[in-house]
Order: sequence, then C-alpha cells, then structure tokens
Amino acid sequence: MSSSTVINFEERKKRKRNHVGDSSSGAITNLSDDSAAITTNASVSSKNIDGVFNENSSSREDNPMIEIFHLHNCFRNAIQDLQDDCAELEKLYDSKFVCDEKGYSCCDSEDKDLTEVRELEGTIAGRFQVIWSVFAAHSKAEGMIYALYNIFERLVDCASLYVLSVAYIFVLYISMSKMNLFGRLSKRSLQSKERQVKLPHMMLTRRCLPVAQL
Amino acid sequence: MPSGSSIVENHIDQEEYEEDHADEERMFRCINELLKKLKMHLKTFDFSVKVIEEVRTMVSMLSTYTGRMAGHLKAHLAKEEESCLPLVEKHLDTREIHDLGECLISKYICGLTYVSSIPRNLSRLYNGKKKLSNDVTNS
Repeated sequence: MSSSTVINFEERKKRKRNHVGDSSSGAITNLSDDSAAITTNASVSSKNIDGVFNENSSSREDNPMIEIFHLHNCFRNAIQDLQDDCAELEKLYDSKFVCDEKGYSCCDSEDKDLTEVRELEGTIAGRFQVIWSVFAAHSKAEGMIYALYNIFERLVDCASLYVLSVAYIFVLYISMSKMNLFGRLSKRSLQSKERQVKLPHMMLTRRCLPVAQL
Repeated sequence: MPSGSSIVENHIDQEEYEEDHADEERMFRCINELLKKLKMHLKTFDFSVKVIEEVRTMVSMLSTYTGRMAGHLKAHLAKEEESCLPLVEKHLDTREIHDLGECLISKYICGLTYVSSIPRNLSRLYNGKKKLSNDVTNS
C-alpha cells in the first residue's frame, strides 16, 4: 500500500477540527471565541434569517428568533459532521483494508489500522445517537402542534394562526431543552473516557442560547 | 388579508409533516441497525477476506444512507424556517417569545409536566391577543 494513499489519522482529526470553522461547511464559525458575533454563511440559513425578520426587529441579535436559527444551524453542523465522518470512514477503510486479486488481505500494522477504524466508528455512533435523540424529541413535540390546533380549530382564523405560532415556539424550546439534557449526559461521558467525541451540544453551550445557561 | 386557514394549509400540511417524521424514523432505525452490525463485525474482526469485504459493504452502505438522511433532515429544517418561523415572527413579539420560552423551559427543566402548562399558557396569551386579532380582522 502506497504511503500516499494512507490517511494520516492525526491529520484527519486536525482537518475535522478546522472544519468547524470552515465557512463552506456550516453556519456557525469560530466556536473558540464566545464573544464573537455569530455569522451565518450557509446560503439557505442566511436567506431565511433575512427573510423572516420584519422591519420591527431592531437587529438580528435583539430578535429571539435568532436563537432558533442558531439551534437549527447546530443541527446542520452536527448532521454535516456525521455525513463527513461516514465518508471518511469509507475512505479510511478502503485505504487500510484491501484485498488483492488472489483474495488475500494485505494490511499494514493491522491492530493500529483496526483501532483507527473502530475509533471513527465510535465517533459516528455517538454523533448519530445525539442527532437521533434530538430529532425524535423534536418530531414528537411537533405533533403537539396539531393536537393543540384541533383544540382551537373553531376559533377565528387569526387566532388559530396565533395559537399555531405559540405551539411552534413551544416545540422548539422542548427540543432545545432535550438537547441540553443530552449535552449534560455527554459531558459526563466525555470526562470519563479518553476518546473525545465532538458533539453538537458543545456548540450550544458556548453560544447565547438561554437553555444552555440553565 | 388572507384567511388564516388558507395560510395554514399552504404552509403547514399535517400529512406532509407526518410523512416526513415517519421517513425520518425509518432512516434513523435503518442506520441504527447498520451501526450495530458494523460495531459487532469490528469487535470480532478476524482479518479474513470475508469479514473485510462484509465490513466494506457496511461502511459503504452507511455512507450512502447517512447522505440520504442528511439531505432529508436539512430539508426538514429549511421547511420549518420557511413556513413556521415567519408565522411566529408575525404573531408574537420579542417579549412574548422570551416570556413564553422562559416559562416553558423552567417548567420543563424542573420536571413538571409540560402538558398541563400548555393550555394555561396558550389561554393567557390567546386572551391577550384575541382583541388584537379581531381588530386586525375587522380593519
């Protein structure tokens, strides 16, 4: 196996760390600076933020809706990281474990190679569980919108819309609360294990989301 | 001013959301099963050609499935931002959103059942907005 085809694991991890601040990969940048303004660079997010704020909003930072967009961007980053890790796992595996035409495996330093693959698989599994948990809570809570809407379905149209809006806010805050609970659990696991997994809650806790302060 | 019902129908389709959620759940379960199998194979990895190729297939499937799921979830988030958040922005002011959020979070974090708090909060906010909504409708 050519050395050029072998992915240096440390380099890969370094790239992953830098990936968080890469403007092309996500919406939240420069997580190391808590006081920095949050920038939104994903085209969809940026467009939506501009589109949703009305003229009464003095600025994005003053508008509570920005928190919801931050939450969504955290989701996007977490999903993107999961996707990237899976692609990298495929690439890593193909570079480490190859079979020649005779069907023999020809792996260098097998134990080390396998350790790297296992480590990345563990990272993927951790990311996946967090994302699944958050979206499951979000979907479950979102269903409450319709239950609430049925309660008020006989009200005038404007009021119904208003109720729907309130319900949606409620759904989002449930999701945020759930995220924080998982974040606390993950923090404990991070302290007790050598293997560190970058989880989306870390982005939340370093941002201005009110739920992260509770 | 368009009627509230038409706006709701245009922007928030219950069946569509339910289908989205069902699709998401299927995708999550499928990937979860795949991850379990992959973990098991890696745990008992014996470097045989058969196992190496089986794991290779799983890893490839994992990458494919995750890509599909990522596209679905991102579309879900975009849909919420385009259809739901403008409604919230339109019908609630900053203080109401903050007040409601604080109230709900404190109840939820404190372990009190959030179900009982919903009607009370909605009722309180609804009463405050009802007059305004009627005024807007009449105007």
